[in-house]
Amino acid sequence: MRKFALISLCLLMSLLVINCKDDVTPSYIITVKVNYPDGFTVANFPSDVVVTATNTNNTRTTTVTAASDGYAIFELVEGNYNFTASFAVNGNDGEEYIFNGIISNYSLISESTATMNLVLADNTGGFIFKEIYYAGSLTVEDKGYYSDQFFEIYNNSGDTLYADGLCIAVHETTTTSSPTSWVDDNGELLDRIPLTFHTWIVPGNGMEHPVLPGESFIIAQDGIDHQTDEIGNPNSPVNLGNADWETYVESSGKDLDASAVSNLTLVYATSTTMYDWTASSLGPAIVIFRLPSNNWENYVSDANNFMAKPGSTRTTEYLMIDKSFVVDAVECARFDAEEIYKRLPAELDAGYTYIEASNKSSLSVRRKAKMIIGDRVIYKDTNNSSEDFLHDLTPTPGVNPTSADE
Amino acid sequence: MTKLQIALILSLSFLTAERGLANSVQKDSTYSFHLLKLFTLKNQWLGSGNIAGLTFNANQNIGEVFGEYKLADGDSKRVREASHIDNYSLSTESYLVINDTYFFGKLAYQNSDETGNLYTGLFNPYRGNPYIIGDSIPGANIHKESFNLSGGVAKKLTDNLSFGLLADYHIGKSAKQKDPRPRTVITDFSLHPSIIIHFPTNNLGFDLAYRNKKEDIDYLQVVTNDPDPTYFMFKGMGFYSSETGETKSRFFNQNSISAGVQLDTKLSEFSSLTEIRATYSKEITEDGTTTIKKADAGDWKTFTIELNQQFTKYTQSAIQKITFGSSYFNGDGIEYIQDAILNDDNQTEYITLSKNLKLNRKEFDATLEYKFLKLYNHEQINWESRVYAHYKLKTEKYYYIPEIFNADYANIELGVNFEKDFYFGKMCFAPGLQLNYRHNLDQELNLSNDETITRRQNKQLYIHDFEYDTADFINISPRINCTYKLPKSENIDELFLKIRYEFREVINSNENIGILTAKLGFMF
Repeated sequence: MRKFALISLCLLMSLLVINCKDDVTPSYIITVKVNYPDGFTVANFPSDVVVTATNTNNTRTTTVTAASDGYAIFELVEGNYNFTASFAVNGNDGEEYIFNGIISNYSLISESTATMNLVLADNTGGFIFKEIYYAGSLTVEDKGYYSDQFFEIYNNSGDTLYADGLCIAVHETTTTSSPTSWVDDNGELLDRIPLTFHTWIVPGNGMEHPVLPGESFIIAQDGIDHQTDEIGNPNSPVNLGNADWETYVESSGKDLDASAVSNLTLVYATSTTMYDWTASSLGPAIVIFRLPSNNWENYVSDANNFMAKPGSTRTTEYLMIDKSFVVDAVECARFDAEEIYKRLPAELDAGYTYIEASNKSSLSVRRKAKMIIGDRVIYKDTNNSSEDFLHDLTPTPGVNPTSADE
Repeated sequence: MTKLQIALILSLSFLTAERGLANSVQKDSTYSFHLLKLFTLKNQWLGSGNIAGLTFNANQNIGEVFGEYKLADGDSKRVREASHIDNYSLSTESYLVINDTYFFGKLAYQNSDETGNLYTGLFNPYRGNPYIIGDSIPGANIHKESFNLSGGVAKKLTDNLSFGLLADYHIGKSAKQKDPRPRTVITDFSLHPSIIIHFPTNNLGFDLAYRNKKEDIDYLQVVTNDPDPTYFMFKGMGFYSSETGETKSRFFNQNSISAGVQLDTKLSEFSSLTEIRATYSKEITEDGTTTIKKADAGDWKTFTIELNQQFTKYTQSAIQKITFGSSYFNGDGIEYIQDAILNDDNQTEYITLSKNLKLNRKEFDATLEYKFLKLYNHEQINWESRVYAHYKLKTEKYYYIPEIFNADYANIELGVNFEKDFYFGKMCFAPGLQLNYRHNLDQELNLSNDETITRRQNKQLYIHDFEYDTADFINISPRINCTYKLPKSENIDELFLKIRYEFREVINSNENIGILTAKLGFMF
């Protein structure tokens, strides 16, 4: 029993000293080296390139202007960061070149150096996403309503373009809060994009659906006036009764077929149970693309264009498209998660946009109006949606802003 | 819980129940009311953490059984507390002596329905841990049930040494009746060995304790078809991360150890008991079932040191008791920085990059209490009164480097209580009144207005709770106790009915709360 008393006393004394203090979060120096792509020699590195560090744990951003040698030196609190840069430079040849760079989910846990390899934005000035409304709305019964989702595609070029053959689909990974499985052995994103749910194509012979410069077309999940239709939602922010297309899932037998709105053609579906084409309300990665030779039947009949999900035991085969097919792509991130893992390669979208107000918020993301020439809006398109998009806006399908956003 | 734990608890509870059933045990020879109150006042070791102190009990078998109904309604509450509570409970507590071995047993069952709680999936969200999970769906009823079981045994092994062992087991379940509904299960077990070394003029006690507490929370969708309810994982001072999903799981596991030393002696006419206790605890929090994530919460490490001093004077005509208690508490919230990677099976796995101190909480409490019981002839209480003063100092810091936010306050609370016993033969009526007043001495709340910082902070919630903690209030509690004494030949000694109403009014505010408690039971 003396031992018991001794143990008690020793424990009491040791408890007095055991509560040693842990350290608060330290800060470290990180040097980010911004590099032009190999072979780009027609312009010197500009002196006003701003590199942005976003702490993914608390969304706080820090900006540093890189020196003329491309070095940007940060002092940052330990944590996970995304580093981004986007800028335009005039080359010796008189052309303007737009570059994007991103380092995703960099774990800063000691003093370190990181390299940001810039990507030349392939800005064709063709079809772009002008507005994406994926968040959905809240019903009067406090339930989620997602049938009012829409995607507005805009002709940002000076030429008449044809919507015929343009496809639309979403990436298989439905959230940015965890890493995508679609990576190679080195952990790099694949050169092919996996598509899930339904893949749609605008029907036509190639010349049936012209879209003039500065005009757009709207793809609705359900082409009705969601505010007034009896099966709609009075709280919905949109009337899609005048949409150009809707994604009618005929095979389900349960989807609404709005008679006033034409249906897109279904190319392929990974699910036979979904009776609506619903994009993730937490942030889809969405692409518009053209298949080679505009012959989708041949494409989906080739088994090489399908792939099972890496690491999954499920037998679902996903339609794969090469990233070179993509006309425009937008990464919509899940903002409330601490980490944001990109699904689209930087060549397609070097950044991401998001709805900060969460899903069911009746809010959309819209591309910034870069300039307005006459009646025609030129939208910003640097292949970096962090730079190109405004977020948490009231949806305005078919309506263009009347003044430039920057 | 292991088989050994079950066997131990069941053995002790059997002994507790056995006392109530047995007819052969010795009954109290006195004819006083308030038997249990006087019994516990006579042994100040019962107010310590040393169960071996049961050996100082009077050689008397005593116990009580009661059912209680509690109704609380009002808006003077913290955000995660209920504005309306209906609580039913059934409890028994007894002290027993068999062959110079002293036993203590306690059983309690609680059943309650609560409404008005927000942002909580925890059984008790104000138990101290800042890492709380909750959802934002209001208007739900939360049903809670819990069961507590305590068993203690003590024996004087030699003239110089006593040994005691106390085991506690608590299980609780709660479920919100609206999607997303958390199903919460807690299990709490502690084991508490102790000894007392007897000297001619004083006694020296030592005790150790180990406690393990687990809380398992599983959010389910039962009725609604909303695919995306949002869960908020709070971290302290209102900062949170959120997640949207059909289901969500969280697991808490707390281990704590404590040690105490007690010394009793005689100071003039007062018997004195001094106790020093230190407790160290670590509670970890994990999210997920197969993929475990720690970055949405943190480890909660706490250290508490307490000093308690009791002076008791017992004469034929009065009992006087002076109690001084003070404690210092330090809690550190250690948060994780993690990165998600794909493992060899291409499944997401979280690896810890570092962990750092983010939240620090310090509390200092001191209470001085004086209790006086005027007696009739050593056995009956004529009247009793109690006055006390309680000082509380609390500081909290959140290290949002490079900023540091803080919330500090100091309160003083004063209270007085008076109860007069009227005897009418076998009946006793004891009306009483208690008054409490809390005054805030000092406060400072420093939070950011920077939108880039506060976008993941529920300031409204935190400020509301801070205002609750620093509000001046007055508390009035009238009560009446009715006791009926049965003949000695009966197994039951006393029947009692206790009704109490407590009304709290926050000064310079319209907030108030009323609590009605009715207790019906008997002593044996």
